[in-house]
Amino acid sequence: MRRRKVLALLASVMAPWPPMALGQSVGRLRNIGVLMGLAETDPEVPRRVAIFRQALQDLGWIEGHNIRIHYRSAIEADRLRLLGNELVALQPDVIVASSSVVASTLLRETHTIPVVFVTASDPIGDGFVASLAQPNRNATGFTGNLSSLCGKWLELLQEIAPGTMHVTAVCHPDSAPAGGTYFLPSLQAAAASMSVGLDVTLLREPTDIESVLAARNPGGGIVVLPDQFTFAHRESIVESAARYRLPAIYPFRPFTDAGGLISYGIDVLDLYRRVPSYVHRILNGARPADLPVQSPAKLELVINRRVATMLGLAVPRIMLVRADEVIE
Amino acid sequence: MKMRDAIPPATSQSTAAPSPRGQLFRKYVGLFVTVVCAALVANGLLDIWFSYREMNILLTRIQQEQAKSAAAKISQYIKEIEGQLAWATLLPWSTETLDEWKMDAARLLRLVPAVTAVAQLDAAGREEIRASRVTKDEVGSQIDYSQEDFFAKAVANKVYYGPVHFLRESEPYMTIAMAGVRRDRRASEPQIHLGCGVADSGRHPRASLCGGSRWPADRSSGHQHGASQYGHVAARAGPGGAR
Repeated sequence: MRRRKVLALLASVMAPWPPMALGQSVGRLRNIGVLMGLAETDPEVPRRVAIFRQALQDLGWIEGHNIRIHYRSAIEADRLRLLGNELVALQPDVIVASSSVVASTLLRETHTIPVVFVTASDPIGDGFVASLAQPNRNATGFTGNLSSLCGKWLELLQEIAPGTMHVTAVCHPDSAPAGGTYFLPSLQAAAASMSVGLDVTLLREPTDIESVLAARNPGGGIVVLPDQFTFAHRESIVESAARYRLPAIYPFRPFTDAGGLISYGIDVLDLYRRVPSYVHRILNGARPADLPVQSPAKLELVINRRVATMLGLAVPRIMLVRADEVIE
Repeated sequence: MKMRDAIPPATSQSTAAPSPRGQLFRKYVGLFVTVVCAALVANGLLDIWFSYREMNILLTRIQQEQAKSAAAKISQYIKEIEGQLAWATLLPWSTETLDEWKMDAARLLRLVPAVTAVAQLDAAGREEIRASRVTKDEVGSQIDYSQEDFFAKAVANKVYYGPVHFLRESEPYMTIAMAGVRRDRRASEPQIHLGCGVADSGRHPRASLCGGSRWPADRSSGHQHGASQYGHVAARAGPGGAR
């Protein structure tokens, strides 16, 4: 009898070891929420989803096999809040938030479910994390375009359109970080050092785009600041800029794909390739509070030569060397 | 009567008390069971102890191997960046070659994604040109770096590998400074390249070393000289050994 007891005791000591050695829990279907601040019909959505899914699969998380992914997307604040509620109610293991606006919507709803933001220009200022090294909250992720890029935007705009004497920066008051003021000091410093006039104009409604761009004088240029609104309405911004023959620089590549002159900024699709590494670690038990916020590794310069020719601009050789892609 | 009186005590004695043989047997059995159990328990405990130690040794070995391979990867990576920097130091600096220099810097940034910024200093340690991915390019800023550690060390040793510091407390960066491969006729001291390269491109080494740990960073200077685990590995990984 004693021997049996001893064996049982030994067995009970050994029993918890194999799962520890295996590391990943098997069998249970894990839930991942993805909330994007884009229209459901936006062609960027399937592109991001495909890359995200593939990167997860490379880490061993296969949709339908050991994970279930719940995708939701909307532009309007009310609809986003509704979808955020819906996702939180599902109690997923982790939610991926496409932008600052989406992340703040989600973090108002939950203090427990881990949230991984894909791009947030100012996660500390927005209160998502306590510090980049130690978020200390249920959120972590990747920073977006840093404010220092403002200097780069003005520089590139003047390089491709040397006649630019006045720059209008446009953003949306609610979806830009800190209502657009996050980028302001850096923009002002860059404009002052280059002796370029500067004004910041807020776009509140989609109809503002046309009227703001129509009011620009010759010699004016546009810097489109990165936020959810400008990204979602990129087609109409690009169209208006073309109609009024305004040289404009954009923060993301899809603007140039849609017919914008030049774009310089983070490669968002690359971030959808990197976010799964954090999702993977959270699913394996890591706490977002301990995962440092990472910076985007890749900045890409895309020049649309067709648009440059239309505006009567010659693309300097050095810009062609710098460009990651030139759209002919 | 006497006989009858004499017999009952004898019979009652044999039924009430166990025989000496039975008692001995139980004792033996008891002792045997105890000894066997003790041996089994001791054996089990020893087994657990040994497997625990083996597991620990194995884990340490795996971690050491991982650290070694990460260090080798980082070393290789830094060597590559160094090689890319080397060709950019070939041209002598003058105002006529400014465009060439700009072009070289643009090419360098284009070809080596890890390099965030590159600067060219003159023989006296003043900045002539700086090209960056994240800030406006500068020409002729004349910022004096002659008192900086990297300048003196790069002049003395041809190449300098800075400590890993954490930009905005989360991204590992290091500075590589290189003395120009040729001595310019006008300048007695070689020229210096200052390249700020991300120590890792975001693949496995950083994922395994950076995540989840705390890195104290001195924000004022942007340099971190403390011995973080990552810094140690990266410093050792430098082709010239620890500096």
